Formats: sequence, C-alpha cells, structure tokens
Amino acid sequence: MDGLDWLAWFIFIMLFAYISRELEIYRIIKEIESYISLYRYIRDKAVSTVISSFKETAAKVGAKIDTRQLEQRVSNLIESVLITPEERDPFGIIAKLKHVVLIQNETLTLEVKRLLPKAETIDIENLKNLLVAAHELNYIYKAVEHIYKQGRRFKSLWLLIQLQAQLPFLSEYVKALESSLESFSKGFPIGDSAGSMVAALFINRHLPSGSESIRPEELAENTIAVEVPFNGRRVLVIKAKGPSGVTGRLDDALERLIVRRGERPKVVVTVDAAIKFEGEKSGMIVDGVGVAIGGLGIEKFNIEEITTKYGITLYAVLIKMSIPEAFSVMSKEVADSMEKALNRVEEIILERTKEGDTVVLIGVGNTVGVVP
Amino acid sequence: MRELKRKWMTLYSALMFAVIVAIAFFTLAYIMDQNTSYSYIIMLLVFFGVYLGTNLAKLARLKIPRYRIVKVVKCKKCGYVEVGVPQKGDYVFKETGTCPRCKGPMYIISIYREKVS
Repeated sequence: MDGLDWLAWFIFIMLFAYISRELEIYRIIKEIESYISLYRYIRDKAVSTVISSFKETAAKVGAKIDTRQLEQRVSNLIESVLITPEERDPFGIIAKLKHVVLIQNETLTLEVKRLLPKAETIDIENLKNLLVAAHELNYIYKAVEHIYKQGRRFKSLWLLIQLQAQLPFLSEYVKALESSLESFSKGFPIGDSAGSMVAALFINRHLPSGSESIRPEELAENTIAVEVPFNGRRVLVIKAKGPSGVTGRLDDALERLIVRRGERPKVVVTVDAAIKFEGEKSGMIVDGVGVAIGGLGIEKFNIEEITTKYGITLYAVLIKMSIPEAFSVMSKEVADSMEKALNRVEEIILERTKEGDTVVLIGVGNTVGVVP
Repeated sequence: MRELKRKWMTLYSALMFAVIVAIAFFTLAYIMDQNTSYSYIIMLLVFFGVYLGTNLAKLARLKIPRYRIVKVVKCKKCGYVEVGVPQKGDYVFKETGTCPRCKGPMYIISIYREKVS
C-alpha cells in the first residue's frame, strides 16, 4: 500500500468511527423521543380524566360547570408549584415543610370547592388526588423534555446517555401514576391503602361483640382513632378517615394522644406498603423496627420525635409491592396478604407487650376505598 | 398504552407494506432495464425495511396485560361469599344488602384487580 492508500484507509476508519457515534446518538435520541411521546400521551390522558371527573361530579351534585373555565383552572393547578423551604439553614425545616404542604393541601381543597361548591368531601378528596397525579405527570414530562432538549441543543452525548439510563425507572413511576387515575376516579383501594386496610381489618375483627357500629373519634383533620380491646391490651388504632383518598395527619393524631391526653403506649406499630426488590414477591410481609412512613418525611420525623421523647418502642410491619402496584387498584396478591399482615400485627402485640398495656396501631397510607 | 400500540402498529405496517411494494417495483425495473442505480435504491429500501421490521417485531412482542376489577362480598353471619364487579363508589366494609342464604348483612371485604391475560 502506498501513502495515498494509507490516507484513504485512515479517512475511512475515521469516517466509520464518526458515523457509528452519530448513529448511536440517533438511536438514543429516538429512544428518548419515544419515552417523551409516551409521557405526553399519559399526561394528556390524566388531564382529560381530571376534566371528565369534574364534569361527572358536577352532574352528580346537579351543578353546572363552564368547560372553558374548568379547563383553564385545571391547567393552572397542574402547572402550579410547591416551593420547598430554604435548606441552607436546616434548623426547623420539617415544621416549615409541613406548613407549606398543609397550605398546598388547603389551597387545592379551596380550588376544588370553588369549582364545585356542592361536592361531597369524598369527591373533593378524590378529585384532589387526580389533580396531584396529573400535576406529577406534567412535571415529569416537562422535566424529561427539558433535559432532552438541552442535550440536543448542546449536542451532549453524556447528558442524553444519563437521561436514557434513568428513563426505565421513571417510566415505572409514570405508569404507576397512570394506573392511579382509574383508582381515584372510581374510589377503589390502591396498593398504598394496604396499611389503612390492615388497621380497618383489625378494628372490624376485634370490635367488641354487641357494639353494632364503630365509633371513630376524629383526632386530627381526616384522621380517626378507634379504641379496640385485644387479649387484655388496649389497642388505639389510628388511620386516615375513609373512604375518600386521604392519608390523614397521623403525627398530629399521635401527638394528641400522647402529649395532650397523656396516653403512654408501650409500643407503636406502624403498618405500611413498601417497595419490593425485583426478586421479591408482591404481598410479602416483612417486620421492622422504626416508623414505616414514606412521603416527604414530615410525619416520620414527628412520630420519631414524640416516641423518642417518651421512650416508646417502635415496630413496623411492611407489605411489599412494586411501584405500579402501590398506585394502581390493589392487586390480588396484595389483597390476599392482608390477612397475613393482620396476623403478624397481632403476633407482635402478643409477643412484645403484656396484658394491661396500651398499644398504638397506625395504619399508614392512602385510605381510598377503605372505611372507617 | 393499548391505543398507542395499535397506532404505531398501523403506522409501521403501512410503511412496511409500502416498502415491500417499492422493493418489488424496483426489482422488476432492475430485471427489465438492468440499470445498476435501481440496485442501490433496492439496497436502501431493504435497510429501511429491516429497520421497520425490527420495530414492528418489538411492538408485536410487547404484551400489555389485561386486568379485571372484582369485589368480594361476605355475609357477617354465615360467611356466604359472592364475587362481583364493583361499582363506582363501592368501598371496603360497605354494607351492600342482605345475604340470600341467612338474610344477614353483606359487606364488601375486598376490592382488587386480577390479571385476565
């Protein structure tokens, strides 16, 4: 080979490397685009579900609703943002965070009531849940599209690769939110209702014979407590008030019991849904020590504060499920495990407390479709 | 998801059909005219066809499970159980009527979804 051939060969190799890289970028871009179009589709579906649910509720209560105004309001609510407190000085951040979250919740209630003043509480809470799901889906779609557009604009392969790597995990969450639309629009229990369901089952199983109906006491907003006797122990069951889709204020309810009323429980047992590992089976029951509550960590922090101050033992029972299962209508595997979880709670109370002790059982999670 | 799959399947199938027709046309033209430029077009069309075919196969393999939602209603007195389809507004521990066997109160004890296919 002479020099010209070597040059031609070198140029060919360089060109091949360049084309191969460009093809790889093209493949990544196409994959991200397909995910983005899926997210857009799900977001639009969520918005139309919210609007149709508002219309259905309006028809149910005999109210007239202006479609254009409704669409405008829903669009504004979906675009609204929660500005979290400043974290550079973290002292007292949980109280500040709780304050902001409660304001957001109240504002959402007011907005729904403004559109449908005659709607029942259960419908208002379910509409709020639908709005939150649509808000989350809109945010994910926009955030992903933003990173994708930045990656293309700056021709950053690494930015696109990072985004591509995260998309399968994000898609799990998006699909979970998509499934939650059906549950909240119909008011059926979701996987996350497992904790509330176990608490409700405990109340129903141990309700003293002769008492025809459960008399729950509303300790905090949308949060009830029921006292149930169990093998010589007093069990105070705390859960969100169903069947609307609320999670309640479990920390406030516990604070009222322990600090204001002077109750001194020996143990606090929290029951909640937990995300399973890929190899685990749905509905698997796991014991734990500590407070089993997800979310922003406000309630977890406050319950830990109270129980640490009064030296109360913390136990937890977790019901394992996948992320989509946690948000969609409760799966058969999870529903079948309710009895096992209830038995495990009873075992913990029997094994770790004595007769005459007071126990607090907290059913954690969204109580949509579950009473009391 | 099902609608999206159907939409893309239709689009890819239509494009695939068009590519096959075009390949057949240019193959005939090549046989008749022996013009080599047709062979390049055929090669490009084959590449495009492979790309479409791969995507079509991927879509066809994509299984979207079907679910049905059921409610389990149980009599508190005699334990008689009925399984049905829940209505909007049904919830767990809702009283749904009387037991056909003992006339006791019937309660929804579970609402869940199960895979059909």
